[in-house]
Amino acid sequence: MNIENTQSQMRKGVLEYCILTLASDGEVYASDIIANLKEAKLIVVEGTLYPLLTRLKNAGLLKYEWKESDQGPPRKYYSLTEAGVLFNNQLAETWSELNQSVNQLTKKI
Amino acid sequence: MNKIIKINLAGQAVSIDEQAYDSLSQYMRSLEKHFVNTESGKEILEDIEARIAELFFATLRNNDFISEMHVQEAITLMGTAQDMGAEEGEESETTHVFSEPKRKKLFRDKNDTVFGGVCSGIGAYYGLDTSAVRVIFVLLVLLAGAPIVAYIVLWAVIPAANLKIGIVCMVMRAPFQISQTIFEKRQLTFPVTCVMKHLNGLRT
Repeated sequence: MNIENTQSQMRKGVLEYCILTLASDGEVYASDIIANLKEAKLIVVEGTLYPLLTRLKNAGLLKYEWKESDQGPPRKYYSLTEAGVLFNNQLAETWSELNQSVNQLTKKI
Repeated sequence: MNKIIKINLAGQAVSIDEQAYDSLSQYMRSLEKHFVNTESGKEILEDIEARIAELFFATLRNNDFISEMHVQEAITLMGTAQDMGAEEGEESETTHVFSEPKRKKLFRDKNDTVFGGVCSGIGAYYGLDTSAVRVIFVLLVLLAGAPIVAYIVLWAVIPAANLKIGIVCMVMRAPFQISQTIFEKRQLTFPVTCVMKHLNGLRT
């Protein structure tokens, strides 16, 4: 059993929830999502985010719009679809339940 | 002394050192290979390319060019193909596609024919040298004569594949998704054991 493997599995599940939560803030730019995730130490390398964003978009949870930017070419701004909002709410519930359960459990020991 | 070239990176012109360009294209190729079987792989690559361009422009000042150092910094930030797979969990799916044993399909190779490409197809299926298969076939004809009939039957029965990709498909067992759909339309499974039995039966 590899500790890094288990850690990355744990992070992976939470990562989708975090991305959706960040996108629920309105329209967000991928690089800002990265900055937030990095700050929270949820991702190590940036490249991992793009496949995830595309997968969430293909699943109909995220959508994006191209917007002009002051510096450089147009950028993709992500936001939640209706299905995404629902999905995110459910994940939020699950997360708080999980959080509570784990806390309770670890306190007992 | 190094040549500086101008490239189009995510739609923007960038001056880049030749050595740095080589490193960058090698990196992009490794990602391309990694995402070839991923849904919307092209889009992911475009996003990554755009992000790399953004990282470059953030550090560049006027008249500056991208050097090897810039490229290595960007690669460290983005992570290698392996990092992306491992953290995201795509890796296991990708290797799954390649390692899953899949029944091999028999095709006639239209790129390598004397008559109909039956021998080259059988050769590719078994990983044998085409000439060897042909020699064996000719020997069988000289000994018994009947394989000519078998050849004509096989010519008619085995679907043709005229693309190189078709051979890849046969040899690698797990074809790329694209080639798979190409072949799905006109493939006809014909287990080779059956063919060989047929040949043996005719000979005796």
